[in-house]
Amino acid sequence: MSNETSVGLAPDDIQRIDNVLADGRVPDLTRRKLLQRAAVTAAAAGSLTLGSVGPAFASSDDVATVVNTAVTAEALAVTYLTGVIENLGTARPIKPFVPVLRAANAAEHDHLKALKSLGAKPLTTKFWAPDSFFEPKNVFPTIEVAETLFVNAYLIGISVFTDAGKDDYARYAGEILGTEAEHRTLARFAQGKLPNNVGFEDYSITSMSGIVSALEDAGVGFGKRGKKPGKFYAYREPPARALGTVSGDSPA
Amino acid sequence: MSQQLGRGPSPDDLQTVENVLDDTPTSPATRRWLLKRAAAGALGVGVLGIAAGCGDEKQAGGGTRTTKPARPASDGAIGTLLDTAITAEALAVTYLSGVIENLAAQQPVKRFLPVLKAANASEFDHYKALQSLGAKPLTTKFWAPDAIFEPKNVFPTIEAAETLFVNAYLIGITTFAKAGKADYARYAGEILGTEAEHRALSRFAQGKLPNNLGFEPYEKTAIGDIVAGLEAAGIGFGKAGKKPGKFYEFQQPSATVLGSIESESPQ
Repeated sequence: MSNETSVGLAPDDIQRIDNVLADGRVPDLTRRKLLQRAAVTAAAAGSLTLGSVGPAFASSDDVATVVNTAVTAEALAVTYLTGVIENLGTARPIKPFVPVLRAANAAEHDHLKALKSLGAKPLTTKFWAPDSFFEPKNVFPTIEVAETLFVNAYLIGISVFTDAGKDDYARYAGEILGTEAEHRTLARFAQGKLPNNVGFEDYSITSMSGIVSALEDAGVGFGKRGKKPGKFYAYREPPARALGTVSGDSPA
Repeated sequence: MSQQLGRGPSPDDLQTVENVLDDTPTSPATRRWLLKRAAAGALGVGVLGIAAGCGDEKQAGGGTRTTKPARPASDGAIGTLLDTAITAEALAVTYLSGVIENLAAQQPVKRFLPVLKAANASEFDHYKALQSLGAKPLTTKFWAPDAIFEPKNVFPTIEAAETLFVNAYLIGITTFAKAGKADYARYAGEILGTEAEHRALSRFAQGKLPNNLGFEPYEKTAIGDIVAGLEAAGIGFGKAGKKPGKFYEFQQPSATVLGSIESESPQ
């Protein structure tokens, strides 16, 4: 992941403040200053403990829950892929697939931006990742598991958006889902597996909290420590060198 | 494609008869008898092709007609969409089966044979799922340009077709969502993902960056435009296309052209 944080810095708290300010029509400059002060204050107070984001994830799925969880997952994806590209780009089996990984990272970053433009707000920008995720042999299995869950998540999105009468959102979910499925199949190919092994994409999980639970079971922590030995990583805007060039960089 | 036809129509006529019978309260026995008579009449005038599954209790998809639910009657757009989708799936199975049967020993097809067989199984599963929703193929006879059977053109052809199929299922999601049919919208999503996988793999087979998109394309917003896109590429639906080629008939694919895959039906 792109930015390891050795101690808990409270990015979630900052994120919450940012979310509130975004809703309060606070001018950008004022907002930045307030956020800087909040960050400094939090650091000075030694605020190492983060509030759990569990309750938010556990709420029933409505449009806001779906888009907020989705944008959080996209932030996780960008954080992980950026870290893999920057730190493992010369290791096998990563090396021959670096162009694919950079393009995938660009796609995930585009999804994050698109979801934000729809009003989505990340529930956390700090993630716990098991150390084992960063062993080169585990990178593509990790991506396969994550992308399978992301496809499932956007299928939940299609259902929720349809029920809410938001056909355009449902289509956006479809536009994103297809690219996540592409990443899934390429992750399988990179492991020497039959890449296109399904007739229908997986929809075994029917709620966004179920998606989050599955990621937590794999060892990811959302704003809190995960179940396996690892570290915290914070989302940051990815550098250009970690991004490939993709077309269709926003929903139609 | 799986079966080349020597000449002219009639599978479409039989398909039309079958579709009409589907919509009427005809007993299975009467229906089989009528279809056999229709088929026999067609053969009597020298027509060589018979629509897949006609006259049999088993459909091309392997299911039985008696279990088929009525198609959603509330929205004509949904019926058109389902019928166009199943027609496209029949086209895909026909083409992929032909490629696997006839070009398997040639590169670059040979290297990707397992992928092509799995893709074919996937398309056939889509066909069966759509059939179970009441979809009826508009034709089972396709005109294909000879050029798309040149080995070097196989993966570019698949890429172009899968791009259109992904677009088609995005139209599907939109249409189903507008109709409030969340389950149908999700089925479209479940299929769309696999079509996108095929698109990426066909690009990889050409040496292109496989995942070149941030969002799948939604350039066409009407299902008729998808058909027009395929026709512009030379495909003919029940009629000769614009480029030199031949007619091919959809038939239930043999086990030798299908790979083994998971998740064979929507959830």
